[in-house]
Amino acid sequence: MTPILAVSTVTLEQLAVSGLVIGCIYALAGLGFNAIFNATGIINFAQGDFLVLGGFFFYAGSATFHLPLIPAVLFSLVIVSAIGAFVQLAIVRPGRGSGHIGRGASLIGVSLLVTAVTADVWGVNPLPVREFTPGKPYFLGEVVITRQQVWIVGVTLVVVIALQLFFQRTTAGIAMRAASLNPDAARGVGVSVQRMALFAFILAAALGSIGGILITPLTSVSYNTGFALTIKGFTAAILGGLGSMYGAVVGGVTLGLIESLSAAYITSGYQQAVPMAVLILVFLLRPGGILGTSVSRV
Amino acid sequence: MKRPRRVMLIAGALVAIALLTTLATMATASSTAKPPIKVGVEMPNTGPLAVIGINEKNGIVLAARQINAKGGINGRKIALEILDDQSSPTNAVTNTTKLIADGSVAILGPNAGPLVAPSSAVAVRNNVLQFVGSASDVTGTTAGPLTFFWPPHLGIWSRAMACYMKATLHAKTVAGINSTDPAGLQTGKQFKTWAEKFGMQVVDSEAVDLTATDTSVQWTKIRQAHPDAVANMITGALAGTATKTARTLGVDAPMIGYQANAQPAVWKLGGTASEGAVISTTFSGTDPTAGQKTFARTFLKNYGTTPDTYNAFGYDWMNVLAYALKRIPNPTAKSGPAIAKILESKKIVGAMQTYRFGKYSSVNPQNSATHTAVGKNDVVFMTVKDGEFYHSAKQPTC
Amino acid sequence: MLIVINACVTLGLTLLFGFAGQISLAQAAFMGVGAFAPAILAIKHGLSPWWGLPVGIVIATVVAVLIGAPVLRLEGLYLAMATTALNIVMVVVAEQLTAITGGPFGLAGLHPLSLFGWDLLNVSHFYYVVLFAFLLLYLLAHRLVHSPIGGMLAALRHDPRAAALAGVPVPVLKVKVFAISAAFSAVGGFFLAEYLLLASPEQYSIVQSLYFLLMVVVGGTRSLPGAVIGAAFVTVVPQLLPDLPREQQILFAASYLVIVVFVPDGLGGVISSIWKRVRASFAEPSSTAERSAGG
Repeated sequence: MTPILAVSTVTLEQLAVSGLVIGCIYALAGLGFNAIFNATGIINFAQGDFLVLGGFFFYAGSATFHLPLIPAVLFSLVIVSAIGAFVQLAIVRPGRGSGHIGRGASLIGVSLLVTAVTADVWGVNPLPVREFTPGKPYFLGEVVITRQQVWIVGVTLVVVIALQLFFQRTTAGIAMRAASLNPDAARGVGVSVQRMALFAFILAAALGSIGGILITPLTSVSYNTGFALTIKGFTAAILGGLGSMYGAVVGGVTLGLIESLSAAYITSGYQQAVPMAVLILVFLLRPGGILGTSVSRV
Repeated sequence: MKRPRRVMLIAGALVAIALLTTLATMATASSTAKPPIKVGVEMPNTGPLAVIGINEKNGIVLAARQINAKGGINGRKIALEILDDQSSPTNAVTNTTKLIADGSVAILGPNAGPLVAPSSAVAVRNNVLQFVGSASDVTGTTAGPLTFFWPPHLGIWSRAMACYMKATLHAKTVAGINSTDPAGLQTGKQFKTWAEKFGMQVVDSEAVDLTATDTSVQWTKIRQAHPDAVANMITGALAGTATKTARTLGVDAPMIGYQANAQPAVWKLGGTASEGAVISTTFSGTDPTAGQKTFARTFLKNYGTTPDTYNAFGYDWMNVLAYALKRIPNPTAKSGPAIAKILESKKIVGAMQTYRFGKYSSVNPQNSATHTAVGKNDVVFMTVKDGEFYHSAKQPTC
Repeated sequence: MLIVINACVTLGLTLLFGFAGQISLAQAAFMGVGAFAPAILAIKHGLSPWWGLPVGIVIATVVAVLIGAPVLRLEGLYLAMATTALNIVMVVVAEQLTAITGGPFGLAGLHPLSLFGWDLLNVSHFYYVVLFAFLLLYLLAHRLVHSPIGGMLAALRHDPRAAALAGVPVPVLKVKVFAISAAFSAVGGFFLAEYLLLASPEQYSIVQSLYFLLMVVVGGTRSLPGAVIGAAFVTVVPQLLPDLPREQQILFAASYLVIVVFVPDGLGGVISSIWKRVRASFAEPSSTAERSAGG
C-alpha cells in the first residue's frame, strides 16, 4: 500500500485540476445568473437550462448537421441567445405586477418547458458530443489534464476578460452597470432600463450556452440536468458574493473544488449534501459570500 | 315526373337494405367478438427514470401488437392501458390503483427501485399479479406471492463481474467504482464480497455521485492502486463518460460493466475508450442469438433502432404473461394465483431466453432463487466493439 | 384526493410567501417530516400511526423554529437558496439513514388509519377526514389573515424595515409564520403517507418544493381559496393526457407559463375579482338602473 501522504499529495493536485475545470462551468452559469440578477433583480430559475440548450444545439450542429467546430459553436451560441431574448420579451417582460420573485416563478415554467421539449425532440437517451480537439492529454508531473479541460479553462478566462472589457469600456456595458446600480439615475441619462434587461437575458443565455458547449463533450447532454445546473449556478453566485462578476468566478471555482474534495473523501450518498451544507454555513456566518458583498439583513 | 321518383324509391330501398344488413352484421359481430384482456402498464415515461421506462414500454407495446395480429389470446385481443408515473412514487401508487380499478388482469411495471415498493404494495393488497423490475433490495414487505421480479437480484451481476475477472482475466487485484444511487451502492458492496470470495484482492473502491461531471479524482486513485481489472458499476450515462476519463488518465485495466449500464447508448458516450469493455447482461440487439433474431429485426423495423436489454425485457414481459394467459380458460383480474402457478411450474421460452421462475418464499420473498426471471446461468458477457455489444469470445462460468 | 392534501401544504406556503413575503423552498421537506413520523412510529415502534400527526407537527415546528431563526434574516434570493439547501440536505440525510428511514426507498407498508372503527382504507372515508382537516387549516389561515396579524404580515411583505420601525416584531413574526407553514406542510405529509401507505424521501425533494411554489403562484399569492385552485391545477393538469406523456408535460409547462404571464393575480385572483364584481352588481341595483336608464 502506498504511503497515505504520497497518495494524497498527488491526488490533491489532480483534485485541484478537476475542481478548477468544473468550477469554470459553474462560474459561467453563475455569471449568467448574476447578469440577470443585476439588471433586473430576477432569480433566473432557468439558467441551467440555457446550458442544457447550449449542449443540445451544439449536438445538433456538430452531430446532426455535421458542421465543423466553430460553426457548430456559433450555431448553438446564436440560437440560444435568441431563445434568451425571446424568453425576456415574451415571458418575462409582459408579466405584470408579480414582482421579482413572481417573474422568477415564470422562469420556473420556462425550465419545465425546456425539459419537456428537449425530451420530446431529442429523446431520453443521453447524446454524445465529440471533443473540440481530440488528442492525447497533457501530463504535468503525475497530474493529467485533458485537452477539453484546457479548452474549458481557457475559454472561461477569455470570457471573463471579455466581460470585464465589455462592462468597463463599451457604452452598452457601462449602461448596463449604471442601470443595475441605480435605475432611476440611468433612466435620467437616457438609458432604457427595459433594453438593459433584454441585453442581460441575451448575455445570460450566451454565457449559459458557452458553458453547455464546453461541458457537453465531457458529460453528454440530457434533458433533465437543467435544474441541477441552475442550483449550481445560484450556489456559485452566492458563494462568491452575489452581484459581483469576480464573485461568480471565485464562487464557481470554490464550488468545483468543494465537489472535488467530497468526491475524493466521501464514498456515500452524503457527497451531494456537502456543497449545500457549506452554503448553509456561508449563510449563517458570512452571507455576503467570499468577496463579501453587502447583504441586507432584517 | 314519375320515372325519377320511382328511381329514387328504388335507390332509397337499396340503401335501406344495405344499411340494415350492415347494422345486422355489426350487431352479430359485436355479440360474438370476445371482450379484450386488459393489461395494465405502469412505467416512468417522463422524468429522470424515463430512460428505462420508455424502452421497456416500447418492448411491451411491440409484443402486444404482434400477439394481437396473430389473433390475440384465445381469440381475445390484449388491450394495454399505459400510465406514466413521471418518475414519482406518488403517481406510481395512484396509477396502480387506477389500473386495478379498471380491471387489469395483471400489471406490468414499474421497473425502478423507488417506484416498485409503493406500487407493489397496492397490487399485493388487491391480490393482482405484477411483474416488477427492481434489481436492488426493495423492502421485502411489499412483495407477495403474486409479485415477480425481473431483472434479477444485484448479487447475480456482481457475482458475474467477479467471475469474469477471475476465470477469464485471471485477475489477482481488482478495483471498483460505483455510483451512489441504491443500485450502485449495493452492487459495489456485493462486488467486493464476491471478488474476495473468488480469491481476488480489492485494492480500491470509489464512489461517484450521479450528478457529478468529473470522475478524474476517482480514476486517479484507482490508477495508483494498479488493479488488474476494474468493475464499472456506475448507473446509466455517466458510466460511458467515466470510461473516457479513465482511459485518458491512464487506467488501462480491462473494464467490466453490468446490467445497470448495459445500453450501447451509454458506452457509445465513451467513444473509442469503451472499445473492449465487457458487460454482463442478457441481450444484445446487434448480436442476437438465433432465437432472438426475429425480435431484433421486428424491433428495428418498428422503431428504427436496434433494441437493447430494456426493450427486450419489456418484450418478454408481455410474451411470458401471454404464455400464461393462454393456458387459463377465462382470465380476469382474479386470475393472479392461476397465472402464478403456471409461471412457477413451467419453463417458458421467451425472445431473450428461457425463463424459470421458482416457487414463492414467504421467508425471503425477494430471494433471487424464487420469483426472479433471470438466474446466474442466464448472464451473458458482451464485448463492446464499434460502440455495439457482441458476445464475448469467452463466456466463463463459476 | 391528492388535491386536498397538496392544498394543505399550499395553504401554508401561501401564508408564508404570499402574505408574509418570505420565499421558502423547503415545504416539501417539512411535508416529509410529517410523512415519516407515522411511518417510523408505526413500523419501527409499533405505535398507532395517529401519533404521527402530533409528533410530525411538533418536529416540523421545532425544526422550522431552529432553522428559521437564523435563516429568515435573509431575504429574497438568499432565503430561496437557504431553504433550497435545507431541503436538499434533509432529503440526502433521509436517504442515507437507512436504519431509520428505510433509505432511498423509504418505508412502505404503513399501517392504514382507522377512526372510531371507520376503516380509512376506504378512499371516500379517507377523503372526508382529509377534507375535514383541510377545512380546519383553512379556518385557521383565514382567521390569521383577517386578524391584526394579517395587517402586520402585509406590512412585513411590503417593507420589512418600515414595518420594524412601525413596531412590528419582524423577526419573531417571520419565524412564527415559517413555523405555521411548516406545521401545515407536516399535516399534508401525514395524510399523504397514510393515503399511499408509503413514505419515501424521493417524494419530498426540492423538485416537489418547487411544485408547491408553482401552486401558490398559479392560485394567486394572496388568495387563500387560490391555494386550492393552484393545488388543483398543478396536481391535475400533468395527468390530463395519459396517452401522450411527453405532450402532456409540454402542455403543463405551457399552460403554467400562460397563467403566470397573463394572469398575475393567479386563478384565485381572477375568481375573487369576478366574485367582487358579482357582489357589487347585487349591492347597487338602483345605481345601475339609473345609469342604463340615463343611457
